[in-house]
Amino acid sequence: MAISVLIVEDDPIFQGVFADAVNKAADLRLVGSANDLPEGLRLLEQTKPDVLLVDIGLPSGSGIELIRKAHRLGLACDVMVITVFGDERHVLECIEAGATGYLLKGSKDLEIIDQIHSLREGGSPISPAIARRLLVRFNTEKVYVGPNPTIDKPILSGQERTVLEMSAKGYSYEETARLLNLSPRTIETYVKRIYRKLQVHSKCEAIYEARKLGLLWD
Amino acid sequence: MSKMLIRLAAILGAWQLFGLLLLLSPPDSTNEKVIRFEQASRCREKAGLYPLNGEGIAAMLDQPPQIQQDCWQPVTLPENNPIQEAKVDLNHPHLVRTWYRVHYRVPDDWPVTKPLMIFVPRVIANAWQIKIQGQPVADNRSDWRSTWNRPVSAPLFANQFQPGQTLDIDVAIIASLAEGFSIARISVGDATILGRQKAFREYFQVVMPQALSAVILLLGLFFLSFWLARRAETEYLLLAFASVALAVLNLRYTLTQPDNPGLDRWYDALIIDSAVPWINCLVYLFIARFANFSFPWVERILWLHVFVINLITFSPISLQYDTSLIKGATSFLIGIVVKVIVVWQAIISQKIGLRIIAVLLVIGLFVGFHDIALNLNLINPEGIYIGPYSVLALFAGFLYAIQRRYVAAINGKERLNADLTKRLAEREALMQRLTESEAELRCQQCRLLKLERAQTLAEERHRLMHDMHDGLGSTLLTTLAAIEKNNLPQQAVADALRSCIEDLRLVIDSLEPTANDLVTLLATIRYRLGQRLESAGLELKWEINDLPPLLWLEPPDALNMLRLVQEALVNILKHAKASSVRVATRDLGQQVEIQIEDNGMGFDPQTVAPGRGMLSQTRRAERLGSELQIESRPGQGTLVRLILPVSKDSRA
Repeated sequence: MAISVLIVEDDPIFQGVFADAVNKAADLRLVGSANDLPEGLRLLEQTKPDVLLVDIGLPSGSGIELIRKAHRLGLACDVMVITVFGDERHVLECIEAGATGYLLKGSKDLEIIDQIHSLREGGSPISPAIARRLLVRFNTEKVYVGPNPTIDKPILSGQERTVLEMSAKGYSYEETARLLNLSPRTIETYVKRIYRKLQVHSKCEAIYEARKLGLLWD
Repeated sequence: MSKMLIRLAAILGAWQLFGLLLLLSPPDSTNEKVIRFEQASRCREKAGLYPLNGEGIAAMLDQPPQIQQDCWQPVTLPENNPIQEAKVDLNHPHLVRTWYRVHYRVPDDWPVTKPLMIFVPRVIANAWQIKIQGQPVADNRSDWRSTWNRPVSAPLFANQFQPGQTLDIDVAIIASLAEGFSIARISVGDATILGRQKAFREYFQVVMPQALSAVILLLGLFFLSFWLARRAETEYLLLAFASVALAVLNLRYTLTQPDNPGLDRWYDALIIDSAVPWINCLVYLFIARFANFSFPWVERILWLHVFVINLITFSPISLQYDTSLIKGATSFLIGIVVKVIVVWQAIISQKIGLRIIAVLLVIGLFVGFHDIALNLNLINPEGIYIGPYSVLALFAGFLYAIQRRYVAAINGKERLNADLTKRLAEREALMQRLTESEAELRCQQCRLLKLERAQTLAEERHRLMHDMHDGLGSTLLTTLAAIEKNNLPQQAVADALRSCIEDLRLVIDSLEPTANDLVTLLATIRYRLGQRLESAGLELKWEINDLPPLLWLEPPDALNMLRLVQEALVNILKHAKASSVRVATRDLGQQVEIQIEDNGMGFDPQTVAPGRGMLSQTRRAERLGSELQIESRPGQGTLVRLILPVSKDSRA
């Protein structure tokens, strides 16, 4: 069964580029294209795509809202953020919101298709800068892990940490895989798992903060 | 009101002081009721063989006068040392009696009930006696050993004279041939006037030295208590002992030397012989400790002297020989050495207290000369011994020096306190002001911070503008111009734009907050360029290890770094014809090294002139404060080393 893809991108040229790439691939199916936030939200509910390609800087609001919506709907939807340079701060925000991949504008058709496939198979890309930031975040922050709010518990497994460390030094998945004696695919899934953890972690944090502020009760 | 009272009190005090001076002033010696003889007749007996002890003196006094009529000679009083002969030999006649005779006519109207008095202020000899009309009226056999310091006097009562009578008054002096003697003027007259004169002399010769001793002992007690409170300052203990020694020395003016031979030796040992060595030693040690100088050999000599003198005094030697001259002379010499050292130290140290002590010591030396001269019958015997007074002055000097030191210390402390109080007040005032203007300050700080931020922003903007103009802007303009002239193939346009975007990415990457992390920067380069290198068939050997953060690596430096490494990689891509490239890092402690090595065709650095690219690479390295080394040989590939300091401080 073909993978359904929804594109939300305000730039018509890039919308075209991405649409062309999706159409070229036999197992990808474009289910819709939107160029602003309300249209994107509507199409998201309507089409329930497998993959959402979304630009963050939309004219009528941030694409992050769309990502959150996708999760609120409980869709089994892989979100891929479209970014100009992999501008890391925004990418990280999107990952926290639920995105697990990102696409650089200027990527060639083949790369786009490859990335979508990879994401669908459970892999996520990572840049050294994002890896570095994640290491810093997972190192310094206390985590909410239940009724005892201040117990420190490592969120990342040793292998996950190694993957982040290698990525931060610029090593490729293949090189990291050789080091850990795993397949590159596994490494990719590790990264996706890390992203999910970050997402959950941010949610827990939000709940914890809200509880502390008295906004939420058990 | 109180000022007025103080003035009145001052006037009253001055008036009473005047009265006190009247009471204490010496009695008028030119009173017409008193005759002071400056002319007399003198007659000397033959020397006799008498032991110099109480019995010998008594025997000599009881012996009737042996005077030939023609032996009387007119002399002028006071008279010094009229006899002086060979050295004392106890087996030969050595004591001699000399008679002085004056004729005194009792005034006709003299009331018979009013006593007369014969008075001689000083006789320095072994003993004296007085006869009137050949009848003995007084002698000093009971305390003959104090002759040198007691006035001679004898009262005459009504049964011993009649008004209008001319009296033959004989004053006899017993003295040793070797030592000689001296005699002051003989006064005869109203006993009330001469009695006062006698009392006056006794007061200054006997009572006052005793009183001074008491004062000095009291001061000694004070210094002792001082030392007890501050054990480390031994100078005060020394001074306490010195005061005891000085009080003992003063005892000679009051305490009569005993006739008992055992006690006599103690008297010699304590009061005559060892008091001065002790004083030399203790006073010197006190001054040295107080003024903080030290000459160990001097101290050793002083202690040695004290011990030797005491040893000699109690040894059999002193029974056989007269050692007093040796003792006195060594004490005197050592005293002079001590004084010279103190004066020298006073001159070089410039301490006021020490200088005053030195002056007083020198004065004391001259006082000593005076007293010795008086004792050796060299000067007018009517003077008094002033040694005790100079000792008091010396002690006053010590007190003054100590007072100066303590007042200075107290003043210093008070100044310190005042300073502290002032500073505290200032600080409080400052705190007050701070509190008052806290809001204002905060506001100012805010403004400063804003200003700083604005400045940083401006700098960043300037840098970005510069980059856009020179790099991106000019490439875009060139490309645009070429497109407009229609002579640029599409691939060239795409390449030009791609290079623009690559550069833009570098700029953005350099602005990353993790920019000072060199490893992440290198990783970012791989992230950006890796695919391009691989698609060009270059195998990338990535050997990046952890490096210490370079805290100085700010975004502009990061951009330089990124460009430098990217340029090196692009050069390999374009020119080297290499099949693999190795990128590695090494931690050298104070430095870090980045190696970029290819296996391409290489070049000969000797023959190949550095091109524009190389020059700009070198310039970038310089701007980074780093070292760029390029090693290459034709056919052997090229190794580029970039060595960066970990901290800018360690870069000499």
